[in-house]
Amino acid sequence: MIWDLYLVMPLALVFIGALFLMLFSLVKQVELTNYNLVTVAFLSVSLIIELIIFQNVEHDYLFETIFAKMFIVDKLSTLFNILFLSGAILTLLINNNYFKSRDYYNGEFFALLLFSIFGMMMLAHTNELITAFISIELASITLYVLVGYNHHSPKSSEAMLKYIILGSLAGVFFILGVALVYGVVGSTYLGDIYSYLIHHQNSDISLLVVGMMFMMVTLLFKIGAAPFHSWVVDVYIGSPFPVTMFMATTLKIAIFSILLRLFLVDFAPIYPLILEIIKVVAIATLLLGSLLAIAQTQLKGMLAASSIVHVGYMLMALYAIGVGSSFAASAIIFYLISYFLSALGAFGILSFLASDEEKRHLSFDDFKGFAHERPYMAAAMTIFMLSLAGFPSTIGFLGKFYIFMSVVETGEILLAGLGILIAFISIYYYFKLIALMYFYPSPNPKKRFPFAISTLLIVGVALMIVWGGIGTGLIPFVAGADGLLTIASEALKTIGK
Amino acid sequence: MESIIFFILAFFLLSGAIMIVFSKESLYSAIGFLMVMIAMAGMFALLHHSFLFLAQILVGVGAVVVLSIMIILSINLKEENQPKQNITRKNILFTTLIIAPIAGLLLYAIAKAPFAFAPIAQHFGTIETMGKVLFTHWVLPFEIVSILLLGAMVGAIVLSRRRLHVES
Repeated sequence: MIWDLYLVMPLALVFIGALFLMLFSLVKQVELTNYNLVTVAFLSVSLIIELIIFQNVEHDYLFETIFAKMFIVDKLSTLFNILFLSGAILTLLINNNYFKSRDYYNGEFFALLLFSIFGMMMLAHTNELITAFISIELASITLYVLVGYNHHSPKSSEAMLKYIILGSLAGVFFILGVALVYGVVGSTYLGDIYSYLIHHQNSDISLLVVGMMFMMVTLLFKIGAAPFHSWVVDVYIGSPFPVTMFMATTLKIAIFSILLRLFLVDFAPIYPLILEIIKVVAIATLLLGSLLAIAQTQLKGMLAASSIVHVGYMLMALYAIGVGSSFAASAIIFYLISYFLSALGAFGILSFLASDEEKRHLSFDDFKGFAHERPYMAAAMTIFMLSLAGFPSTIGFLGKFYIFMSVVETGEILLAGLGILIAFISIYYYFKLIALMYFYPSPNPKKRFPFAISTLLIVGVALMIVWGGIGTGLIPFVAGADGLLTIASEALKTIGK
Repeated sequence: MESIIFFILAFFLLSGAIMIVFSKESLYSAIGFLMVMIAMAGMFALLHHSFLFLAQILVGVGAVVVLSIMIILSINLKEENQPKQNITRKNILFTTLIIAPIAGLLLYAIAKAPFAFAPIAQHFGTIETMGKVLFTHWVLPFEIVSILLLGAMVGAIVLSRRRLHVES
């Protein structure tokens, strides 16, 4: 019982933090930075507890007498929680300058963000489909509001409306799918679908498959995969920088937490029926995302569209899981971490520049000669772009390497070839920025490196990316990139069947 | 007898749904919505689920529909202020062609599915059994729903307050 209370502490802390900030936001005298620091403090304590839990937990149902088997705590959920919490902490700290430069942020912003993180953490812990649906909705409904937080910009409000309408329409498919699955299986627990499929191999399972595909529709929509990707660019451009960062990195990881759980266990008996669909979706995501990314003139739009392409790589690995690759699932987790670091840094630099100077540094042309104006920032941006493009010596290269390896392992050479081709195409839009930064004269004089939490963290993230790429062999005692892969596969082993 | 009531309710449900989509005045759409909600409550009553019937009438009809009608009346929605919708025959035909296979697949799957339900117990659907089920077996989702409502409430307050802020 005491151990259970200890396991639930991180979630409870995030929720208490949300309540605290909600009440605290009534006090008008408090500065915005203090709200930010309080939020970060709650998240950090939660993160530390999660790190300790990760060492000690195997596979546990929390409060089994009260919650039955709905609340699962295993290494996978803890690993994902660590990612959400560190993502949120980095997002908040990197955007510290940006919060101060805009007048529309207040205490409720942080409360809503914490509610959203609570939903994501619950999503990683859930072992039951209705709880999963409610957690997805909790994470998204608060995000809808955050997307429209900038009330000066009509674009932000438009993005919010678009996201609300499309997002709730997509969410409905999940609950419809759950209803159909419940009709056949008679239970909404994750493992029960697997055991039903194993024990009823001769009976007609078409309704079950239809229901599961409806659930996939929602999950694919939320990560922005191909037929459902049209909202991504508009919503990402319209929302404020911190929210874009949060959606591009943390929300995507959250959806993958439930997607992996469903796909690895419950979808396993029906792989032959659905793999073709996953393959088509992955290829379409790669191609359409690349087309969108090439066409963008704004840097934020380019990063948004390229996030669709990165989802395509992960769907490729999802296909590889079904064909029988042994380490595709850990490759997905590794890729999530590598993409999360690179995108966080790239959006962080944009948000820092947007907070520094009004209405600048949004399109490609604004970056002409940027390296002569701010050499350190340009170097960090170069590292992020190299990592996103998958250039060797960055963590992004290793992420792509593992994904392609897992696809090649299953014998799907053509699919892996397409992935490599798309990676070459992505060099065009990532390296365009590097070329613009270095090969043009700067219209402005050189500026000093501004020492602040935001900038130091951006440099730190850039160093982490390089360390993840080349540092593995240099430091034998610390877990490097390969260590991350081991941790991921260790966590995946704890999913009970 | 039951099937006659079912078909009457289904008729109202579908005609209300068609009314929502096709009527040009928003108020008529809202009244179509009201029809759908009441017919839905009737469906629950037909299934002996008295709790859901009550909840549907109280929440669906009493709160959701009334609120939407109040909003339509208070902001004086007129047809000329609305964005143009081109509901042409071609669009309807095209959408039907897209939706028809999915609907056919669902129909086929439901017709062939081996449903795994026990025959209903004696106190099925009463408030007492619903309360017991919600607070024992489903207590975790039930509690998270309350957190969801709290988050949604904070969000709604933030959104509505900023509008006042803009006007002042």
